[in-house]
Amino acid sequence: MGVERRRGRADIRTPRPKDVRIVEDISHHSVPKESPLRRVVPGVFMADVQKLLNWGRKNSLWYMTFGIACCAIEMMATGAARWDLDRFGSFFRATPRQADFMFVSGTINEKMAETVKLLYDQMAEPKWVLAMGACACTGGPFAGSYNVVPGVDKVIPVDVYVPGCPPRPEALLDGLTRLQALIAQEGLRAVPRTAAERAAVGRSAGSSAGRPVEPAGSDASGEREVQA
Amino acid sequence: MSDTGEAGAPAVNQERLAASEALRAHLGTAVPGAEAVVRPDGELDVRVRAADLEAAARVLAGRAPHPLNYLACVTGLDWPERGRLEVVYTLYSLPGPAKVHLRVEVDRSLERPSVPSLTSVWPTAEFQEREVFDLLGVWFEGHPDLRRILLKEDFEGHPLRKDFVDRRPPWRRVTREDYQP
Repeated sequence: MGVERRRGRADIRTPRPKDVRIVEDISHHSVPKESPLRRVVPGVFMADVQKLLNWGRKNSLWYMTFGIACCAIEMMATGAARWDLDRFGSFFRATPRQADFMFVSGTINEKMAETVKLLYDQMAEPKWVLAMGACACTGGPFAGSYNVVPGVDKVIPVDVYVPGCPPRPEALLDGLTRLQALIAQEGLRAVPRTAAERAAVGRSAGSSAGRPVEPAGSDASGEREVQA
Repeated sequence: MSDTGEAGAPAVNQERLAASEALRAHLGTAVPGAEAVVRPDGELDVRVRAADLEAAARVLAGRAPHPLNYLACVTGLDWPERGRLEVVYTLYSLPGPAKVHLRVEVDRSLERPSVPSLTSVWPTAEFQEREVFDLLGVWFEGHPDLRRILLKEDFEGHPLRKDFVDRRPPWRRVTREDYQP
């Protein structure tokens, strides 16, 4: 985010021709260099919608105020001044309705699993989950216990796993930036949620080989990487 | 808490030892079925039959001038080789030196192994007896709200029994594509 913003400001400050100029820093763009689309009015930015959305989403990962166990202490430290998650655009939100990101920071027992699932369902799409620590990744030292879920990915889908017991804030920040990299590759997704919806779009229910359905005209190449 | 004696063994709290001896003599007459033993460390072990449990508890809780008015802990034990379940109430006296372990056993092969609840004597027993019920499957007769406290209500079995078998189906990873809200 910082890089793009600095470039944007530089554009405004740089002495420029009267009204039209070539913006140099969009060379990664798919529009050919000689295209008139590359000419922009000063103060007006051009981007493809998918990249713009991804840029906004990955830099405003608002996460839920939700700590489960000892990992939550480390998560709070990461959110506080010393490691300062705010600089990545991530803030605590006190309700799942305003959050699009969840740290699962602790052991999930079977009673808690229902609550985690409920909170996840209450979050609006698009939403992402980071499993923090050994317990949330695999059950950790409690895997095999009569009441412990061996990893939160048995309950809700997980995007990034950060092992550790608990992970250091640096590791958590690394996980967050990796999630941002994942989000940067996503497409405009319309994920069918129920079996009926999946059937309506011609996919067999429960097929893990199926892919999210892209709206017509969007770039299908930028889909989420599904970890095996 | 306790300093060590000359031989390196913990020094016995003499006040506690005296209180235990007095309590043992008192219990012998008040509750004839109780087997009270003063342990070498000065604490008192009281074994009672389930039928005598509440009477013994009332004697201990009402003993002047140092009533055993603080129920510190309720523990459950499983003894499969003896076929018994044991419940231990650990009692302190806040005004005095006494410390008592009140023990009761019940046959573990019963459908509902049950002992009387002591919530009427020590109200704090309520949650602790629920925990013993939840994890070991001891039913406390007369308990006002005998439900599971730690595990889900539909949990099957009592996991701290030595013969507990986890019958949950294997877990499967949920992906974004097959997630069911």
